[in-house]
Amino acid sequence: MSAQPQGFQQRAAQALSDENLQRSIGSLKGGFVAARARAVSALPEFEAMREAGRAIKDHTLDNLDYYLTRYEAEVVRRGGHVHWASDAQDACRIIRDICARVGAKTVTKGKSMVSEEIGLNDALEADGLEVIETDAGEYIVQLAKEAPSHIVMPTIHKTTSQIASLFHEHHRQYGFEHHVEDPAELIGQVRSVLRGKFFAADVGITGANFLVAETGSNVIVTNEGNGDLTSTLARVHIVTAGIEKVVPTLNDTSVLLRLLARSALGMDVTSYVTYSTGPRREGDLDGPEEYHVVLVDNGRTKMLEGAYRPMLRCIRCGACMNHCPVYLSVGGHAYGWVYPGPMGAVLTPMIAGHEKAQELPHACTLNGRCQQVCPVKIPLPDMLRHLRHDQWEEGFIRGKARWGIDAWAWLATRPKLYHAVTRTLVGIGALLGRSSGRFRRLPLASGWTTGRDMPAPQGTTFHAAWAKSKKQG
Amino acid sequence: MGRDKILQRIRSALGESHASEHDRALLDARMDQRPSGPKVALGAERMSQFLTKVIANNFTVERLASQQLLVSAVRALMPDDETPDISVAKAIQSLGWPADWKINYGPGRHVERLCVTQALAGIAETGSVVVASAPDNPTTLNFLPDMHVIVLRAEDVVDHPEDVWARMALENWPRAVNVISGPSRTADVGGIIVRPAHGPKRVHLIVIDA
Amino acid sequence: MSQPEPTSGSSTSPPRVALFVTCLVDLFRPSVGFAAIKLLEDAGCIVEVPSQQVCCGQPAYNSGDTEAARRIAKQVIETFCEFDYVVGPSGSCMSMLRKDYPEMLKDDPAWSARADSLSQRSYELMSFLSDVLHVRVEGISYAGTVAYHDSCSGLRTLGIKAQPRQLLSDVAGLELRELQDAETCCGFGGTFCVKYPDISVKMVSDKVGNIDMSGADTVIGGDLGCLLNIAGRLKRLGKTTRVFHAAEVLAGMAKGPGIGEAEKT
Repeated sequence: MSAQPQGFQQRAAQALSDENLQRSIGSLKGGFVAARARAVSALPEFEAMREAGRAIKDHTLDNLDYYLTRYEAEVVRRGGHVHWASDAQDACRIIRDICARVGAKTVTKGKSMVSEEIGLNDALEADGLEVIETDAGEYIVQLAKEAPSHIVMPTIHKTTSQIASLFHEHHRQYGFEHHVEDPAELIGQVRSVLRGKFFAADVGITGANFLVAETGSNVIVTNEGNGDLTSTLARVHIVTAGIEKVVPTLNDTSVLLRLLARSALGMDVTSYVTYSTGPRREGDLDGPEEYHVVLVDNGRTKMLEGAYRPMLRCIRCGACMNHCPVYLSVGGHAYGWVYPGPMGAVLTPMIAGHEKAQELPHACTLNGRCQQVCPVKIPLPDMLRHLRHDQWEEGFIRGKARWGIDAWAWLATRPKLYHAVTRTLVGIGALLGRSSGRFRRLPLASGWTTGRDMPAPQGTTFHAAWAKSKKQG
Repeated sequence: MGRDKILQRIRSALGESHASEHDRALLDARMDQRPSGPKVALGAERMSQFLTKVIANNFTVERLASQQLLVSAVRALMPDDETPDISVAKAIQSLGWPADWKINYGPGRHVERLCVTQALAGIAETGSVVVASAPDNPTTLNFLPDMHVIVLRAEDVVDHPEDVWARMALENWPRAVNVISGPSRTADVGGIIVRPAHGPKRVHLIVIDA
Repeated sequence: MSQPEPTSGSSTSPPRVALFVTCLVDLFRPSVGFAAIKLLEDAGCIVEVPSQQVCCGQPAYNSGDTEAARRIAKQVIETFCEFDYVVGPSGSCMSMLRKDYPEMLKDDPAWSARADSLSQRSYELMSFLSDVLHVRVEGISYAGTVAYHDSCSGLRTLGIKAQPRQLLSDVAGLELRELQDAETCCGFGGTFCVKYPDISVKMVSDKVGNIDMSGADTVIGGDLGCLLNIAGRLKRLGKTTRVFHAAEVLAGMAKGPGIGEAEKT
């Protein structure tokens, strides 16, 4: 999908007045957040696990060329193919070429954030392919021609009755005539419709939660089993993965999986964790005839360079957004692209560019809750502050925001003048505000006073009062 | 092309010093040593924790004293079927399945009421069952049926996933290793958990004690 | 307030403490500064207020103007370097001194060690009273049901959670209530509250909802930014819930108008 991260403010305002959305994202608090808290408190080892997870990811990133080439050699040794894509366009071209070569007509897809990031569906549909998302949530947002609003729960923004209407419209062609609102029946329709698609698929595309250098495997984590049907029933299995997904060994995946399920869902495990390695073997009765991996850079090597390397630890659990008061206020679509919440506010400018995502790093109170819950200890507030720094240096921050800070910093390095100016302003403010103790409106501060009163100053500045008391002392 | 460009970008991002021969030797050693991280301590004896966890994960479980009892156990799972029509992994073909049943020993079909596959291991930490693909144990049988019956030998239950990896030869690493921890489910409609989504509605684990 | 235990066995001379006033206290609520001085002096400290101090530089730092923030940091280090301790009534500002200065000056050989040294001597007021001076509050009363608001920097950067509750537990007549979602941000966030007013108001409304639900008649906190935000929303909604800085209550100085209240005539 194309990035539309500008206009955050407007989309946020819409989201705040959308009652359905507010109710849906409100349910995250009682759901995932409470479940994670229970799972973590039940586990004395959790902090040690976070540290181990961080260490594994940092070690791998610090030696990324080594592990990627080891991984590549294992994939090839076991009959698979590895493709390297510099950017989104490159990645789409590689996958389109494979589809064209094998004469594909139908493509099934397991959940893959990187495929959303590179805009794969649009590229394949432009070639006339039928592309079907098979994760129930992704299927729903695909039918609705929307984007996922959460990386783990793509449909968190949709009510059951919205989904019911959507299915009533689209599933008639499969013989489902009646409007039903029961979640089990609705999922039953998805199962029935997609079962045929899995068997018809020429190419199945999945993501990867991890790539294992030791075995050349890709690991996918699901609860539905759609990823396995996608990768096993299609003639060709294509894995799309960011280059940061590689880890050294199977044991390393076990450490990270313990963190992932708890952080994402508050559960010990998901229903399915699958290690897929290469194409069908001799004598195998099922499995793909071809196995391809597309390793995607798309801005990741730039993040590797320095300040943003910790962001590449991200295992896409969604805990940061589940705990983010801004995400919980405006939902995922406000962020305008594939990755919402705190991780999105870092990834979007890094991948799509500052100019397309100028607002996102600022839409954060730097309260630090995200870092506290991150399973691999990404210092998200520091990353966001660093992005603000980059924007400042590169001149993206202009106008009122820039000269306000400039003027204030100028004054703040001139203490005498500062105290004289503030004494005067506070004196006026206190005089005007004395009768009610607060202001309902203030010039230049409408941002504050649209929803809040502004408490009035007490009378004079502390420094003036202190100087006076010393004199009298 | 893309490969060299990306590897070059990675190396320049990491700086010159990182990839000395010494470092490579250390990295090779780490790959050989396969260090393991913190694990979740078991709350009970291995088999009892395993059984508690698989039940918590919504498996149904029964224990059989011998493999010879498997066919009648499967029969009991489909009491209303006059002629069971099921798929069975060839790994367990030789257990005396009744001649009048319709049994598919091939890959999974479009509609599968019940499939039986052979497990490689059970994991006590999480209550998971590991099923590996092989010519005699097709992967599709794990995902297509309404009811998935998994046959696990009691002696194959281990404490942690790391113990499974240690038992497997990397050289013959299977094409698909499925770690299964319950029936297929989703909460994508209204946040309500629905079973099944695409895979089995019920996973029935048969633990063979001998 | 009882005499503190000496901080080190050998030294008997009282510590020289510089008060870091903070901009918001200077501008909006000097009484918090006076309360802090009283608390520190009652605990046996010699308190001074360097007049050259202005701001910690956080608005510039969080806006991306790291260079201006460094200039201000150096000025703060220069101003406060000679004291045994620097103590301020704000978790947010003191996080700058404790955590951010060393980070932003770590590559500057002339300033890195000085930033570290100041960092080790910088404390938020309540953690200083509790963790360093081990004071117990005595002879102070406040009649009210109080919800304590944990501000994010104090909580997560400085680990301030138990200290204010422990200090407040010795205030006679004060009943503490815990807020639901106590560790969720109130929506202040420095310039965030005016850059993203809609979201900020939504967040502070959630906070005020939880305050209402707790049944508390007073909100107390350790950061004036949060308190102005919470008081502003409470007043806009016509609530009578009172808002004070913790220092004012602990010093027995919460007798006048609360934050956002008119002076009694």
